Amino acid sequence: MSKFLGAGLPGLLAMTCVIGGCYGEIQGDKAGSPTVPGPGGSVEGLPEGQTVQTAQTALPRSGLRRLTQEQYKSSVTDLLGDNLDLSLSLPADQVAEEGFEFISVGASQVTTSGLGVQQYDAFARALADQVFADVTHREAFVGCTSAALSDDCVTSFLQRFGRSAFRRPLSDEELARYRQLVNQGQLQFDVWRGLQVATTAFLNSPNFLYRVEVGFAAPQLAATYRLDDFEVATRLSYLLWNTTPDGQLLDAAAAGQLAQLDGLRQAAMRLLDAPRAEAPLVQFFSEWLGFKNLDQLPKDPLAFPAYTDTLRVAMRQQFERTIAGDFLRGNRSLMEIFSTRDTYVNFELAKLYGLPGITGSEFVRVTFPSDGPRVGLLTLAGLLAANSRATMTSPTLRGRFISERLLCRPIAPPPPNVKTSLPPPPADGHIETMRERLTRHATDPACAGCHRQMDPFGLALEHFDGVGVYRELDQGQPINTSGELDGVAFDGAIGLGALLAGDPRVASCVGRNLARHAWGQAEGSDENWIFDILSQRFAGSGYSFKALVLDLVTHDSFRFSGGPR
Amino acid sequence: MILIPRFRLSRRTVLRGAGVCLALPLLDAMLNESGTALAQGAPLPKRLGVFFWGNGVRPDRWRPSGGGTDWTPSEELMPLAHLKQSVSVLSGMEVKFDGTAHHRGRAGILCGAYDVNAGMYGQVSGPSIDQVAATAWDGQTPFRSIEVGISMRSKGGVNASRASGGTAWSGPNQRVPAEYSPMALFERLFGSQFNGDQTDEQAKRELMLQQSILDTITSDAKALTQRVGAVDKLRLEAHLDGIRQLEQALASADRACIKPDVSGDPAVDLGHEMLDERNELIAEIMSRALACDLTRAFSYEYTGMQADTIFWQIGATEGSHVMTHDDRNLPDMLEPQTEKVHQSVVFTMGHFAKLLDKLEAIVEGDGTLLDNSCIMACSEVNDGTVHTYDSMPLLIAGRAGGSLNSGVHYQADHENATKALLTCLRAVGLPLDSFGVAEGQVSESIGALEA
Repeated sequence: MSKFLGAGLPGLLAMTCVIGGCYGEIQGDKAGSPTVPGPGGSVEGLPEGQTVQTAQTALPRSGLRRLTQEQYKSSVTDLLGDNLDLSLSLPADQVAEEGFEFISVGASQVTTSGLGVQQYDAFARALADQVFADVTHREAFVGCTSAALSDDCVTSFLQRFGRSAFRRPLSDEELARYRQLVNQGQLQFDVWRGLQVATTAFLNSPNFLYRVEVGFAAPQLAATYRLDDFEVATRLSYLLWNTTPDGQLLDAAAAGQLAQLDGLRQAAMRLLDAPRAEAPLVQFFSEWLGFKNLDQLPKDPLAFPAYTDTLRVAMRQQFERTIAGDFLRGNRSLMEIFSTRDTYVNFELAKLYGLPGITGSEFVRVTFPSDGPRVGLLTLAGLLAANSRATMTSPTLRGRFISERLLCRPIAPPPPNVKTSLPPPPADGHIETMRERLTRHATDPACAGCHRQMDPFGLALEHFDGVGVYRELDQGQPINTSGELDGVAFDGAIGLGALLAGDPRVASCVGRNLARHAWGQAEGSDENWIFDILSQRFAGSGYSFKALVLDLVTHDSFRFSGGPR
Repeated sequence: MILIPRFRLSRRTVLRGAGVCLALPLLDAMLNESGTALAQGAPLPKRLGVFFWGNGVRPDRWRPSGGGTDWTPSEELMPLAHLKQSVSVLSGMEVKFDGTAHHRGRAGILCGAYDVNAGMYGQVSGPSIDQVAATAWDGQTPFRSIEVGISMRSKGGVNASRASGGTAWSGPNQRVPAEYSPMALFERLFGSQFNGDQTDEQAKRELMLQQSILDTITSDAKALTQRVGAVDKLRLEAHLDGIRQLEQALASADRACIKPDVSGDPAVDLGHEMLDERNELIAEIMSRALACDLTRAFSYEYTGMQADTIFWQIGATEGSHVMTHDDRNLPDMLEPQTEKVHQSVVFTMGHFAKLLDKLEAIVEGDGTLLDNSCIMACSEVNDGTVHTYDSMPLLIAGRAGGSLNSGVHYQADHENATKALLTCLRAVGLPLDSFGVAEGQVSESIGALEA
């Protein structure tokens, strides 16, 4: 047995003795916890009366997750230091397309091609070249001087750097393999060259390039795998800091602390409270809610002359500042995202929103007028622009966004062989509003079913044009923004927002998306029990997003798996 | 471990023996006296390529008039008029699969294989023809295949590869991604790594060390394979295959090629993509790589399936996929978007012609590089506005070393489009009994195109 698997033993021991708090849902240790379907089973080693619910309940599978471009760069920076040239190309990230677009999920699906392998190889060599370029730098990196470059020093460097690069201790076999590589370099050139070659190989190894979240079969729990403590540390670190685990986290894994719920919670809180957690969590929101797409979003300059490259960037920043300031640092109830009038704008956005007196390109905190049309997420220009066409609004795209991203209600793609263009204007010259045009389009029964699930939401937002500017009229006609959601009537963006804020599906959808992002895969239909639990706790915390993150990472689904993918 | 190269054309020996200057077209220097085969007796290599663009054509402005060898290029084919003798047009070739719009057409026209039940949009369920050839020829050239792309805007305009994107597959859903950066492509094929003169002692040692690194990570990957599930096993096998490809490239690091002149990448601006510049550089590198026999199989993704490339050069302001589905409703802009779609097809064919011109300019034996190739140009749909697959836009350029008739307008009526794929594969010397799966499977090629 390699050291690698051996490192998980403290966790295993902790499991068999079932010290309080080491299981979570498996043990059913939380008051009011699992509304889990199905009977529990009794398992050897558990105290009388305890049941193992996880064993009977589906868990997401797990496996290899390739580092995203950003994760690769932040990891090598943490491993090798700042001031590295990171400009070479890396294999492209893959965007998942299952009603959400997380690259964290694509990273579990993407295959590395010959081109990709060559890119990784070139990048690793370039990095090692830089680190070993001069004597001072390489001595500091390896931790020995040329004069004292003993065998022991080489071995301890391999162990230390290997643990950082692979995010777990090297097995004996691996240590021997990399030691052999150093010898080869020494044979051809000198020992420094050998160390450089080993460094290159560490950075080029699948053990570095892929996060391994395989785990090992937990013998006490049927059909359940338990992630190794180092794998849990890795999952946690990339979720919260988007980089390789630091020494402290690896030490906690080595000491078996992450096998204990308390230890895991403590480690998670340290990461979550650090400033470094902010950008990765904001990025989660940007991917989930599509603000990331503003980076590449074109608009027709004739239709929207005010839409500039700086404006679309500002739209994204407005959202991201709100998330960071109000919902991460401020820890407000996330459901207030639908009702808040507090926001951040610069002069370009202020002009779009009709807010007077703001002149600089710096962002300032403002409150939208209490009698105005701007309230919450649904009225943010970025959301409205990202879910519109280049020349006009699209109630269908906006409605699909609300259905898929906020309610987690997927919409099937259009049936084959239908014309998805909106019909041309009527020949008699009658000018139609968007609602009239869409209604005419959706008369086809093949289309109507899905359009009914999308269009009413989007039509509620028709007071905002294709870049989110408020308008009283559409084509010179008054705008009807009424609709209904599962039998409940609403009117306009404010009415719809209020309805969504109180809809339990929205709260549950937050947890779903966070879980997809954290697990690196879509949930299966029999994993709904997890979101029931997360939703309950989310509500219990007053919809604190940080509390939700903490609940997710301490939930069994984060540390156990349904088996290798 | 010392790698024993599987590939060695002994260019250096040939070149030195003949006392020729390296600036000559390489293959000329390696030809036998009658110019019909390599000096070692092997016949001239045949190449297979795929040129792909997204969102189809305007069918009434694509189909040429006339048939057989007596036809007149349509508006959309005019950019290829000067190459008419080297290009065949195929009409009435149909993709028979049912399934999700665009996806079924792309899988059908590139692979003849589509699984409607897999994934959200169905999935490609077999290799694309460029990868079929690459696999058959594996080991004969330093790179088993080269995949390039020109427009970086995919569906929805996002510059990250979408799970459902792609133009080349080595097997079911095993996507082979494209390189978009001319500089990176140049470095990959002609870079300093491959300047090594293997008689130089230092360079030899460097290569040995690099090989040792690859041995180490191969062992790492194999050990990891033991631990993972079925899906990840396939992914790691693909990674291992990539390592083997790199070894193959290193084993032939000792190269004498005419290098393309590439000094930098065009700026990346997804709102105003520099398609002219990028296409020029990539086509140049590709033609040099083929001339030097660095590979014999390639995929050239001009725009991807359902791509939202903005053809600002013709005055378009929206993505090309959006254009096929978005009728304008601005009072002053009632020109139908279909006109812009048409212009984008003409623009695309102009860039295809530039690639073909470069291949036509390279002399090999008594013909040209283009003569020794079979290049299939295609899109995933016929009329993109309503998603039809009855007459796929389909061109076959080159004569595959004399195996193909060219300059033909082949007019079929609902014939299985996979026949065109099989025709190309057989023409370059792959003795396949059949190709494709299920509705996409055929065992007949197109006799009228075979010489």
